[in-house]
Amino acid sequence: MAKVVNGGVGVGLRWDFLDDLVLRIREGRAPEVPFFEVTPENHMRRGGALIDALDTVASRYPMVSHGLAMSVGSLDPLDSAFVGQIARFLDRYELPFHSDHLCFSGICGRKVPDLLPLPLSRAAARHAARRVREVRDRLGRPFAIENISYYLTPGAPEMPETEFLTRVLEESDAGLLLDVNNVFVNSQNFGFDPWAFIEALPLDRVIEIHVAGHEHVPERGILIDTHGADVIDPVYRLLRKTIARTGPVPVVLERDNHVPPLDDLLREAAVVREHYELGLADREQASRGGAA
Amino acid sequence: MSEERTQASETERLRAVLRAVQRLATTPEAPQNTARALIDWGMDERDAEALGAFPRERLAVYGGLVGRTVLGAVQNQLPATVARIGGEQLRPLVQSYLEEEPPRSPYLRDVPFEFAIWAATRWQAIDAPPFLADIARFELLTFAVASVERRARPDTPAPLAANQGVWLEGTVHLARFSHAVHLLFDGTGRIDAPEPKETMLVLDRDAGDDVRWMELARPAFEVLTRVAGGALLGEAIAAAAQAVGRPMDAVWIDEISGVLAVLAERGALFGAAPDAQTACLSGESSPFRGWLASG
Repeated sequence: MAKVVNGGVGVGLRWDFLDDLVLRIREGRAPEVPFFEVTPENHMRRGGALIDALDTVASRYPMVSHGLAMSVGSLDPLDSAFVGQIARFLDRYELPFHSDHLCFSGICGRKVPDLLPLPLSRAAARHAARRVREVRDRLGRPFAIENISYYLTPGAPEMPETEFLTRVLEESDAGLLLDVNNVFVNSQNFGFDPWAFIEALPLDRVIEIHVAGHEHVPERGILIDTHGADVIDPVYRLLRKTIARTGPVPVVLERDNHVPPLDDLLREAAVVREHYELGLADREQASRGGAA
Repeated sequence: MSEERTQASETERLRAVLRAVQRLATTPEAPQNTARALIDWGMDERDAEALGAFPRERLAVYGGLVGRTVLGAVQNQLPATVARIGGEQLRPLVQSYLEEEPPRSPYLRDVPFEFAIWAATRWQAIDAPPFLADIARFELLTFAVASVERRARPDTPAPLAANQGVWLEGTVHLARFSHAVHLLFDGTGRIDAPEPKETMLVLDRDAGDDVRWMELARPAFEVLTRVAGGALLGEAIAAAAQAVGRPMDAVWIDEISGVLAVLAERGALFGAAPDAQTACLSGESSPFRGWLASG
């Protein structure tokens, strides 16, 4: 039976602490975490101890699914074998929806292990929307897309990014996985107001939120979305304001580099939860007529 | 222009942008005179000017990120190989790979396999030891065996029969090397360099999911390679005898039966396979199985 995730602050499941987590579960010391976010690509087409570990986590916690390699913006045909493997994974763990990034990861049969930006063009939006619908149909469950961080805008833009995202979301009727750290990183690298950006999005489509850390790279003069540092206060403020607008949705703390021990990560998740709850309180106050 | 033609034209323009971004992401440095170069790569003039307006160091961000990601995956999955060539030689080799033959798999863990296949003919160019290709293949072989899915097993194993295939456990991999490379990984540290010697191995995972291997004599290897490909046991035994120039006599049959019994005892062989599909070890969960077997 699928375990439903309606809100709260979960953590992205990573190899770095998987053994520790599994040991705690098996010894009856499972930490209190409302859910974990799992990346199917890390576990698909695998067996043995890796799958045993994931089965153990799934037996104790609800999970949400978030992928990396769907490449929804690519002009190559969808990789049927890959999509089939994702679908089998989602079925196995009874995961109610899947998400991936609004980007491309290769063309002409090649797969680049990164989330590459799409041009902000009518053609890219139309194509991405069509592919999102195709993915949703092939997976047989809702599919959401995440706004990415990016370091260049390829090609002459035909519309602002908010309009591009909104077009894709509305033409595909998809959910939005809003990464507030990505918005912040982009706002610093390209000089815009991150909250104005978020407000311009169709927030009624937000089904999940990501928070993470980033790092300043002096030699390039930009922020890089490394997921390798603690979340900073401006990102927490964006989270709080967004939650005040969206209400309770699952929030995931992502950490991919310099992953600390599980207890340290859970302490950071507790800080995320404080801001999440402040956002809910702001929402409650606003609904009673107070200023949020 | 009709809407259909407009859309087709816009799609071609989009394709050119995606190709250019991919090229930037697999190159450590952006080209000089960027806008001109982007047009030469096929981009529309408007798009080339917009993208070319970014500083070159900004255009190189993705090349740096992708290069580091692939380098990290190679270092993680090929530690013994990397230790023998060093980072100074590895980095340009990885970069050449990305520029010449970018990955094809959506799985990052497949990229070191693709890299090693590409590099197999290039190790000599960096003056690597002659056994390096075998080390790389052995490391990736153990990685594959460690993570491949197990197969369903029969409720009641059927005894082996000459007119049926053989039901092998899904983690079973067979491989042939030109050096006794497995001795580097036996945990004793007794050798630094494997001797040149034709070496045939069967690898699988034990009940505790640890990877193990066993050296095979050529007759057993020839039989197992055939049954793993879906051949009937009797046909495999006959073809193997012919391949090694041995008569199909009682000695031969006893020798092969002994190896099959050992594999059954280890849990690597379940018995007779009810159909060809069950007999054949497919590449779906171990897509590099063919290359891992023989390079």
